[in-house]
Amino acid sequence: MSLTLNRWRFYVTPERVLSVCFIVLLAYLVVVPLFMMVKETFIVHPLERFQIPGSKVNDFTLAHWYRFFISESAYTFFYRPLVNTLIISFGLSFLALLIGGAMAWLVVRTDMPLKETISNWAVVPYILPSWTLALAWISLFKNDRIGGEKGIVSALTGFEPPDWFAYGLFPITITLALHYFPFAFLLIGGALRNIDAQLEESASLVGAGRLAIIRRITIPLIVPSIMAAFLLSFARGLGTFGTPAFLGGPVREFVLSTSLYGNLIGQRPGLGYLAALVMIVIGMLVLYMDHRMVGARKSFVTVAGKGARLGLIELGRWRWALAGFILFFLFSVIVVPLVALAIDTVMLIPGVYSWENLTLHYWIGEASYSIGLGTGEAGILKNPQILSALKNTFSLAFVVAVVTCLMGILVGYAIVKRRGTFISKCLDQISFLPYLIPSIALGATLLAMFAVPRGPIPSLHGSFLLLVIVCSISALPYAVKAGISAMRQIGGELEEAALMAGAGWWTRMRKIIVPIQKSTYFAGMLLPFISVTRELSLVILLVTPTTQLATTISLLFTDRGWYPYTNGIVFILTVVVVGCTVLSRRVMGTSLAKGLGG
Amino acid sequence: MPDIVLDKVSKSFTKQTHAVEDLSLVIPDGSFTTLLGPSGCGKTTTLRMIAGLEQPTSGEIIIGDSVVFSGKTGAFVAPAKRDLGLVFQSYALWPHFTVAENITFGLEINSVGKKEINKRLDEIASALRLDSLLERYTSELSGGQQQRVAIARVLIMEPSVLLLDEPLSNLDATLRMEMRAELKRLHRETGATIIYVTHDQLEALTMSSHIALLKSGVLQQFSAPLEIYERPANRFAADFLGSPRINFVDATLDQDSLSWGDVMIQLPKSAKKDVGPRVSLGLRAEELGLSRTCGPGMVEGRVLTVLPTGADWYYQVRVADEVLTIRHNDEIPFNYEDIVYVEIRSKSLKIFDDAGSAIL
Amino acid sequence: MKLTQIRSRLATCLAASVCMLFATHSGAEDWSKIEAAAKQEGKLLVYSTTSRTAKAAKAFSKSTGIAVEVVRLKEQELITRSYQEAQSGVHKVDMVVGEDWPAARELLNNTGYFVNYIPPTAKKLFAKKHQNPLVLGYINRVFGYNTEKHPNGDPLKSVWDLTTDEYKGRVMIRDVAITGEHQNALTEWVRRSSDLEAAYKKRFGKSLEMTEANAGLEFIKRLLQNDAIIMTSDTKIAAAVGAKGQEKPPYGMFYVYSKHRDIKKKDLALSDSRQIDPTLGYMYPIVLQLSANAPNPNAAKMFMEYLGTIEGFAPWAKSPGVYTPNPNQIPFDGDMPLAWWEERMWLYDLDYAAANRGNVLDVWLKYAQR
Repeated sequence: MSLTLNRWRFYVTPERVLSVCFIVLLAYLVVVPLFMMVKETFIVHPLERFQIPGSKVNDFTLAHWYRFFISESAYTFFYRPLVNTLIISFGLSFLALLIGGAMAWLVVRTDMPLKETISNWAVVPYILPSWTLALAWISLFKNDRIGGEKGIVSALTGFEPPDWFAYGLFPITITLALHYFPFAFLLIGGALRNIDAQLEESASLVGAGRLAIIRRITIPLIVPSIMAAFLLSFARGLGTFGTPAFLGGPVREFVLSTSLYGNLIGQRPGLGYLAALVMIVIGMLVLYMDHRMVGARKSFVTVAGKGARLGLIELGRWRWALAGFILFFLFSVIVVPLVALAIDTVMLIPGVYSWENLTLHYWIGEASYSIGLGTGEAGILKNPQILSALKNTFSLAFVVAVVTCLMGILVGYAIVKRRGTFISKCLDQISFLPYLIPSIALGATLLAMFAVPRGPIPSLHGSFLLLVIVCSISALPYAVKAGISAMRQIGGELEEAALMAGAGWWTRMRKIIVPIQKSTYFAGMLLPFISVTRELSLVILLVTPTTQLATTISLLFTDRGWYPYTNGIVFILTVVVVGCTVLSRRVMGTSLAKGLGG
Repeated sequence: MPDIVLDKVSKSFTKQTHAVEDLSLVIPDGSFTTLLGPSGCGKTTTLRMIAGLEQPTSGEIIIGDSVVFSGKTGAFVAPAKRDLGLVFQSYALWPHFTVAENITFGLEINSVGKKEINKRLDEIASALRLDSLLERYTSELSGGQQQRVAIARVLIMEPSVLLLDEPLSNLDATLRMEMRAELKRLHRETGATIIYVTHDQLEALTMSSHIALLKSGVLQQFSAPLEIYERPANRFAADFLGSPRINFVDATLDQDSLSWGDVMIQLPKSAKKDVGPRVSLGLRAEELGLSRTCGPGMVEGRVLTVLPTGADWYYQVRVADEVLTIRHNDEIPFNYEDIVYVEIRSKSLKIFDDAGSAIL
Repeated sequence: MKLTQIRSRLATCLAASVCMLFATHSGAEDWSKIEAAAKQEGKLLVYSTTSRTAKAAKAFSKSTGIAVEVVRLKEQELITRSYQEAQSGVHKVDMVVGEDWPAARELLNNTGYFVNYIPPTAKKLFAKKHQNPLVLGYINRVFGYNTEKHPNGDPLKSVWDLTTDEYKGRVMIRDVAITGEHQNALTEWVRRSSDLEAAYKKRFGKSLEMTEANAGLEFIKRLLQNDAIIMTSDTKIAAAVGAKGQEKPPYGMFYVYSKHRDIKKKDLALSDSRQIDPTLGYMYPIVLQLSANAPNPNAAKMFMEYLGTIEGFAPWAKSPGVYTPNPNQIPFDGDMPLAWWEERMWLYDLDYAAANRGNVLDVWLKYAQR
């Protein structure tokens, strides 16, 4: 009897238990909500009764599908937003690849000066909230279409930028590309660094010129990274809400994410969830294409790496010019917007740039209906609403960082230990799933799942827990990726050695596995911390007045035109996020690139 | 002290293939037994099953008096309770611990007293010449030093069985020679049973008291090293052991004599009779002799390559359609293109039938 | 047609009075008992769409010692959240201060989750039509223009002006798709299509040619085809329309009149159109409803009573644009009394709005994407 028990204990290993637990948990938090969401597209919701005459709440209906895909409004709901979304996503991905790829090539393969500085700065646009640039774009280029104070360009030059330049698809694509190009920079840079120099040298020995080498050898070798960067920017661009909302709204150019948001806010969940579904399907299609196109080639880059140091290409008299140009570019996408935002927070009346107008009212002023914008809100540092939102943001970021880090360790452990088995593949796939779901759509699925009580689980709507769940799920693929690579680096033998010495599972985790990889895990925490701090699209559907976050409250203030507050909050977030990044680099030697799994 | 018994042990990771199939072995107490074979032969899997890191699909493993695994009763004893130590191929030294911490970790886990730990640490450190390295981190050590730490870490637990998984494969050639000697000394001094995994036949031959030769999960032969060398059970065993590789020539079996070209060899009575007529004859380089003049039982050949190694001269000689590698140290060396006469000087004949089994 | 309309109105009136018979048993109640019970309860939770409820609550707490927690929600969020909570048996909220009554009635009142309650002051002073649902105050939404651009006064003669070339890309309106009250208001434009058609003829001297079913929907179409700018908030519309120094300032449609309180401190050149035909905008009620399962019903009743008094309404009375049905309230300086606005603005018909807002929304959405 006790013998069978022994054997049973052998089968019930920690990694098996972990695998099963996580599969169940993730299925419940990711897969079930997806099905719930599909179900929601077939039933009548409370206020939809107005659109579907004669129906009762919770009736089965095909009306949403009809309205979304076939009816006269389908153009507004679906077709035009779809086309806009695709234009933006493709456009921004290409642009981001171009910018990031060119910068990566210059930094890795040429003798351009100031590489270190450029590499450090090139990541910053990604850690800023994505809509910072949209806000900056508006303050710079807004024209008389949306009335109010003049934009900076218009005020200085008297030239009114045309609508297509000031609002809509063009600036959305540009600002998002400027936000997402660090993906391409990090991924392509990493791949370039790993290319075995001999591969290029042997090409040059048979007489290939520099361009031919780039075209025939270098680029094909980094295709997997290019695709990965493309996919990442595409999927993230798809699910972005803030930028298209700010820049598209004034010219009534909608995308799927704004259609989703509008329909959910307008109490048409059936349509909203359909928009989410379409976004998820597109996300999966893109991944599938990526898989088909690169699939087998993925191994290229990992194989190399031992090769000799690459010879740097001499740029001659261009080297300083190029470095200067790139620094100028980075300066204009990082410093200029931030300074513009910061200046706005100290101007009593927006748009009046004079010394008399300088004020700290929006930072430390008392609530007033008569000073400046007369918002009736106290200054940022004294405003209980804003302070509580900031507190929420940072506690959320911290909790999520810890939770995802733990999940990353445990899931990575379970996957690597059971490598090759069905259960391990299953866990791997399911933890990767959130990667394909555009942020706002992921928020929508969890809303569908947890807005109402289901069985023994009460409604989580408006709870901090729900925010923790959605952010953790969204960060999970990165955390697991980091966890897996950490475990692979450790290898099984280090743990088995402890097992042989008689250390139990808990001791092995605590004394061996976690301490060895602590810097990797720390890097794995940094990324979720940063993304949560500046996250908007993911949480926009899930916050309520009691769980307001810094980003959502700044959206609220933007809606009311209270830019000094919005900008001040963004400024605080930026300072904290950049500070954390720099600090962690100094202290732990971690870099963001590591967390991204470049 | 315990014998280690493997009884019909099988292990399969997938449904179709066996990593180890029906393996039965008795590893004698105090022996230095090597599990030898090419990569993928199941030797590491076998070792890990003995250690308890893998669980066999079926069969039984007994260490001394205790059944540590049984497919029938479901018995299973946890690795740490089997009184054995395992030195990993990668050494698996914990990079965040110092040498001393690495060595004493197991004792701390098992809540051995501080005093006792220090005492044993001193002993083991001086025995393995690690005294001056105790406070270093393992990444600061050379390969050989790391290896000694890995061994010390295991020995401090005073196991009665020591398992070594290709411990020398990460070392360079000279260090490997040194460590071989050191391991042999260790075996002598501790008296522990050592089970040693390697794919290097030379290592196996030089160190072991017993070799278990495996191929594709199946045991080919289990005997003393020279026994296998001299009397391989099959063609694979003959081929796998020995450097340079054994020569195989086609021969014809006729009643109780063997003919290779013009050479006729009388076979002992014990030879299997129901095989042939076509067999292959295995001839090691040192079992062949060369001469400038023809004599009885010699065949003519031509020198293709001359390969001096310093101590020995090896020649590749073409005889009829075959190329033989021959060691020949007497007289004046031969030259390329020289006509030579080859003579068989085997003490024990290695003759294999079509299926590859020895017929003697 | 006319007859059925009258009949249906009669039916609603009847239904309303029957309801009142049951719902308004407050007269019989002993108010002092309620007050005593309220003190016992000592607290209440209010969902509100207007931020000023919190101010009123502060004053109320100060005088009564009853703690009031006010959670501010957007109008549709308030309705669905209250509905879902009630549906799933979560009874936390005691009363709501909400908007979009057609939707609220549908989900909160008709379902029995919330009931109308008429406290003593309201019963005594409010006109009957403001008692069911109990109205905290009316909000008016107007058309506005930039006075710097138009120093000689109101440029807008008719709502149809907004669909002419002169106003192309210059009219700002909050997104109808996410503003329930706009949907309700526009159903009134459908209901009063004939008035709209007449207004068109009066302005341009010719009949309106329509591709949509009626003049109301035709207006929506033409407004959007005239490149109307969809905004996310009224604050922004008022600020954009009124900012000084603009060559081509936009015009505001349906923004809350209360934004005019900012004119002075933000130095805006903003005024509302007082001649625009056929309506100066629209009005809608902020309503008070009591949860049928309120944990603190008496405290809620007391707070509702308080909000009906001059003292309780004070936070809203400090600026233009919100009008209590309490006849003793003096209008804000420079603003007109409720009755004045009622005469010149369309209030939507509840039942018609509930039945037709889907239609309005569909047409809006059909043309919303350029």
